[in-house]
Amino acid sequence: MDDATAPTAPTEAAGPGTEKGTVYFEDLEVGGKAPVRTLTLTRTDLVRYAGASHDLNPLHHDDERARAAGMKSVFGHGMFSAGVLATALTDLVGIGNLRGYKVRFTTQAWPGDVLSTDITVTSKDEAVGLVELDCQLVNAEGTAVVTGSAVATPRRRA
Amino acid sequence: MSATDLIGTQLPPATVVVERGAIAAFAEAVADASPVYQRPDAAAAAGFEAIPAPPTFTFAARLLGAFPDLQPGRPDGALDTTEIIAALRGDGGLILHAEQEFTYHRPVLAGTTVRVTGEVEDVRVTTNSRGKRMTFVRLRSDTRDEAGELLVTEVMTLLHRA
Repeated sequence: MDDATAPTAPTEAAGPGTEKGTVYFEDLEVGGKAPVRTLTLTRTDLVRYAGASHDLNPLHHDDERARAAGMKSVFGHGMFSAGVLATALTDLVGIGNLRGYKVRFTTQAWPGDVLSTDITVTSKDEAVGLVELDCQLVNAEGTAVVTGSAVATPRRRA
Repeated sequence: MSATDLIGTQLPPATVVVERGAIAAFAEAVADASPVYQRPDAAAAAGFEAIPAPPTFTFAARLLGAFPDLQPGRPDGALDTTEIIAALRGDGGLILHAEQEFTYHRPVLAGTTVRVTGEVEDVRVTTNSRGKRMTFVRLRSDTRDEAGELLVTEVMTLLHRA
C-alpha cells in the first residue's frame, strides 16, 4: 500500500492510551471522507494474499491458466480487495470498532491497476455512538471493483 | 436437483486454531501495517486480551487453521463450499462470489480455538433481462469461541449464471 494521500478526516493528537492518529466519533461528520489509500496492484500482492489466505485458485496467480479460462491475465481475489478496503475502514474507525461490513464484487482488479479507497460517512447516531459508512475500491477509470458499506462504533471522547 | 433443495444444507462444522503467525501474515497481505496485528503489547495497548484478527480473516480461517486431527465428525448430508458449488454447476454455467457480509460481535483472538458452523440460509432463483436464469445462494457461517459465544457471523452470496 502506498502512502495515504490527502487526508480529509480531522485528526487529533493522540491522548494517553490511544492509538496514534485516533479518529473519534465526534470528529466524523456526515458526508466526510476517510483518507484515501492507493495501491498499484502487483502479481506479488496476489501471491502474498494467496499464501496468507490459502486461496490457491490458479486464476489469481497462474497467467497460463487464467488465459485458458478466457481472462486476459491473472486477476485479484475479490477478498483481497475486500481486505484492503477493510484496512482503510479500520484505519479510520479503529481496530475492533467495526460492527458490520458488507461488500459486493462488481468487476475484476488487474495487475497494474491503480486502486484507491473511497470511504464516506453516511450517518451518525449520537445516542448509540454508531456511524454508517459507504465504501468502495475504485480503479483509475473510476470503476468500482468492490462496493460496500460498514457500521462502526468509533472511540468517543470521554 | 433444484437449487432450492439446498436450503438448510449444513456446512461441515470445523474447529479452527487461530494462530499469531497466520494473523500477522494475513494483515500484511491486506496492506495493514498496524502493530496491533504484529505485537502483543500493541494489541494490549489497544484494549485487546491478545492479538486480534483483521476484519476479513474469518473468511480464510477455516483453510488456515482447521487441522485434521481436531475436526469433529461430519454430519450426514453436510456439504462444504466446494461441493455446493459443484452441485450448483451440475448443469454448467458460471459461479461468482457476488457478495460477502460480516457482522462482528466479539474479537477473534490469536492463541484461541474457534468453532465454525454454517448452513445454506437461502436460495433465490431469478431471471435476468436476457432471460438467463440467475441463482443466488446465501451461505451463513457462525464463528464462536470455545464457550459458545458468537464472535463473527458471515454470509457469502454465490451467484450461479446458467
